Amino acid sequence: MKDMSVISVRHLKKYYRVHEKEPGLKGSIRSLFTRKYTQVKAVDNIDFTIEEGELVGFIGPNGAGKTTTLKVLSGLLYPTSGEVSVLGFNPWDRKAQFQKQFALVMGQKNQLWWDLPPMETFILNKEIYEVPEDQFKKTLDKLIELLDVKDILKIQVRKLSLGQRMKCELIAALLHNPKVLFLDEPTIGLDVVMQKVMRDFVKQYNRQFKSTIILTSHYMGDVKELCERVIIIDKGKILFDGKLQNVIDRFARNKIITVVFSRDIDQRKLAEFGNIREYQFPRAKINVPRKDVAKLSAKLLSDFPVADLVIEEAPIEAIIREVFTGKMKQTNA
Amino acid sequence: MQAMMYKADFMIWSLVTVGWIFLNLLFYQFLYLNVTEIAGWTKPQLLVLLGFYFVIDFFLWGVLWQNMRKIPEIINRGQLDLVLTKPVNTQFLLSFKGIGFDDIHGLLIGLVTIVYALSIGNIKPSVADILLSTAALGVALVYIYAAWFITVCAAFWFDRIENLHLLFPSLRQIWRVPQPFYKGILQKILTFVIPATLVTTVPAQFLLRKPSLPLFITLIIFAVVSLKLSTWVLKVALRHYSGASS
Repeated sequence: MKDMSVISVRHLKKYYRVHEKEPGLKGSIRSLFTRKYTQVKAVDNIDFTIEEGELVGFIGPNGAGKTTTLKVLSGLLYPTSGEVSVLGFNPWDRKAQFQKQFALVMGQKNQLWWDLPPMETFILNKEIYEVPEDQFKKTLDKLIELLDVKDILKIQVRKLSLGQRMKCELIAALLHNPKVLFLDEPTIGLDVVMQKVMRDFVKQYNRQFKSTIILTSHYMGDVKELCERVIIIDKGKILFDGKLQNVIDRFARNKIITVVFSRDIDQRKLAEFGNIREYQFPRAKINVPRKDVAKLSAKLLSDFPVADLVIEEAPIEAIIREVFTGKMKQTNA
Repeated sequence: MQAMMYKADFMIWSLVTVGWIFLNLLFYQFLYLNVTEIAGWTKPQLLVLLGFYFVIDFFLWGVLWQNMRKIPEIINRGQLDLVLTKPVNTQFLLSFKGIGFDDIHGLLIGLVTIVYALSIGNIKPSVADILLSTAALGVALVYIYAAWFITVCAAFWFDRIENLHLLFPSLRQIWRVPQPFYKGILQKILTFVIPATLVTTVPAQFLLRKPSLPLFITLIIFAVVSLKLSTWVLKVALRHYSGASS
């Protein structure tokens, strides 16, 4: 019945019931007696499978259903319907044998004991996950080295910076060498340097331990650098599942031509080529339809005094933004 | 351990606990200046019961309170997520994650009170009495824990209830006096509906050599049922759990 994939999700739905309250005191009093409930389709019939060792990025705007999906995969939420299998287990059963093989790291929540140094949490987790002493030492030393946190292990967690804390969160989550790792916004709130450290670490961890990783992030940088495959999710539905490169092929309608002119030109004439994104002599950026790129650039070269010309893909952020906003327009219509 | 990270807090709590205990003792001293017996209980006998009250208080505040107080918070803030991913019994982790011995002096004073009361009352319990009394105390603690846990689980259904964790311990004033002090319907309710009067009365009765088997059995039934019910309630609650949004 179950295939060999590490993670397999079929027809998964998770609906929440939330109550609506009219604003103001009157609304509050009314809501004490009669409550109007609405159903929120956090995840609405999604399917995907993930193989061993894959590093998959979940992208989507706030409230798209990314975190809900991760929570269902972790056995935190009981699915409304559908089949979910992780490492051959049904996550909701929350069997210890399953829980010892995965870890969930949430950028906005911490498992570290706030009032104690991180080392105390590490030791607690060692006991909880029944990690043998020598393996614990070996893994811990390695993680400490990779993340460079030797000096902060004995400092109260509350006194650590966000970046330091996040590193320790990762260590706490990885001490039992999980085969499957769910990272929910692991770089949220971190500065660019720390983001880079985190990305490098995740990449290295994935390679070294052959662990299967799902990562959600708002930062395209994370996904671009780490994930070959992405799953784009919006309003609980999967819009795209495949190679990041294919997102561009499929959704990007335009390419960007950057031209440097040797003389000032007539902007109106330039506008015939496409949508001018910016023009400040001597440089202009024009959005042109992908299929016409070759023809239009040849025409540009012959019609204008061109000193330099570069053709680029639209940045992935812009493409994805377009995917989401385009989708919204469709549903609103 | 966590509490000891905050030295001043620890010291002040210790003072509060000790002060509270002495106020209680003083109250009973005054009470018995006027009478020799209340509902069949002499002063030394009542002091034995008060000793159990202190011991249970240690269990309430020193061991359970800091966990129970955090449960609604853990649920509302969505921190339960991380608890649920751990390969240990969720109920156990929620209930006993932080075990403190901050109020350990409360336990010691309780035991001293019992020993002192037995000596002034010239009451000499046998080894069997002591064992039965300890067992009854254990059963009482199980009941207290389970009932408290169940009330706290209401946090799964209600988004926010301040002081939910204090709902159950507010009953402790009831078991500060023995069960026979209550009369009529009130006594029935506090014995067979919410058996709050039994948690100190039953252990004390064994030490005082006037055991009541029906009361002991009632307490055992309540403890077992409440414990079963608490795991069941948690199971249902987790199905209902939707997590706080991240």
